[in-house]
Amino acid sequence: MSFNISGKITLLRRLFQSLTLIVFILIYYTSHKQSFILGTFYSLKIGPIHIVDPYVYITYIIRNFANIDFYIWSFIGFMIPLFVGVLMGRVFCSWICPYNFFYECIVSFIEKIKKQRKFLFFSTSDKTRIVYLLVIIIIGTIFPVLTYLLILPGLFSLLMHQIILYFFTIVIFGVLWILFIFTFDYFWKKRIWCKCLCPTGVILSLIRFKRGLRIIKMENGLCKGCALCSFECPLGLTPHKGDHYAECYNCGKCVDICKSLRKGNQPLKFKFL
Amino acid sequence: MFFSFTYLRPPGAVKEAEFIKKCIRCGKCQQICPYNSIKLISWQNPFYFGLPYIEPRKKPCYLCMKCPPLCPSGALDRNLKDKYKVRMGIAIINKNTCWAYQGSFCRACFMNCPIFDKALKLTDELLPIVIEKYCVGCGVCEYVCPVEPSAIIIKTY
Repeated sequence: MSFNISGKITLLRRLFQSLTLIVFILIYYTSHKQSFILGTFYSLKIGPIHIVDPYVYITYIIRNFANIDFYIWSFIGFMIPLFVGVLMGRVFCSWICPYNFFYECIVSFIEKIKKQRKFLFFSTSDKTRIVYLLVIIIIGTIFPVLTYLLILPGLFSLLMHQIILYFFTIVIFGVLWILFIFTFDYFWKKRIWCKCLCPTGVILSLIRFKRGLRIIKMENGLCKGCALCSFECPLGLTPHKGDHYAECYNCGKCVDICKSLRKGNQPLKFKFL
Repeated sequence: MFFSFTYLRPPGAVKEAEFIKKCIRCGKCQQICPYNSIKLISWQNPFYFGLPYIEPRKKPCYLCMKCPPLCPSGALDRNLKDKYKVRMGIAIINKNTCWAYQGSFCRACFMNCPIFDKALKLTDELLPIVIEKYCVGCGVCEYVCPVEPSAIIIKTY
């Protein structure tokens, strides 16, 4: 099943990303009156279900293996991101994650001022990511504070509440930490955070299902090799060569540009199953 | 752990060593708190970043019992609904500065205690004493104490 959402995918995605920010500010302002939706991206409570970040929950389980407190709603909430990850790939990263939104906004701003793009992206294989994930799970189990610092979507959503109440306490630290990560993410190895270091992103990229939601390149000679898709890709992948599956996070920018150029018979498409 | 500071945790918290292991720092208890009593640790201790705590001298816990059922990880006891069973700490009276013991008439802590006439009692209708069996450690007494610094403080377990 392949489908065409014509050239407005990026617009739709920006809408989703802004909506996430608005929802998190609304959660704060209504949190004294309702307890239906509460929390941050570390753990989001919707109704009775506590959706938990996979990396946080895995380290939590290992750390408390001796006297575990098994709460069924937390466990179901732990399965939801994994289920979405298997079916839809890394849609969380591109459509929801506030750090990615922040990164794309800042980078587009920088590029507008400088009028040039950097193309030296960081890239790794699946094997490196598995080794990295095991190491980071062990370290995160020993030092619980790491799970707090490494989940940037969680930290971002937390800051959205804190910035209103306690500006000079946790906010300054959090903002400095995010800017530090952004600095080496942009100036040293471009996109190293989202592609290799973010625990949530690594888990979501490792559990992807071969037939879940993905962007495919038709192998029927439609592609003329203009490589505009690779020029647009925010992760620096090369969809025109058809080797982007391992790291792609389904943002749909390449589909958009392909659609606008080829008007209906484009080689790049979203595909599900 | 590396630095042993003792913080007053939200009601229903398990033992301190277990609490550090179990809390996943999602901040839901801080969000639901109607009085903004619960805060998150930031600069004070880099190893405890994001853990919730209460500063009773600035804003005590009023025992509304909204936060324990929200905890996804069991760091706060989910089944705790009775405010009389909370054990956050124990109030300790500094008899050298307490106005009642100095001869003045002051009943601030006794009148404001949410476990009224059980946790704090007056001997001779004048001198407050803490009954450890009933004291929950909410910190209201520390908050209302007119002495600066507070003559009655909460000691955590």
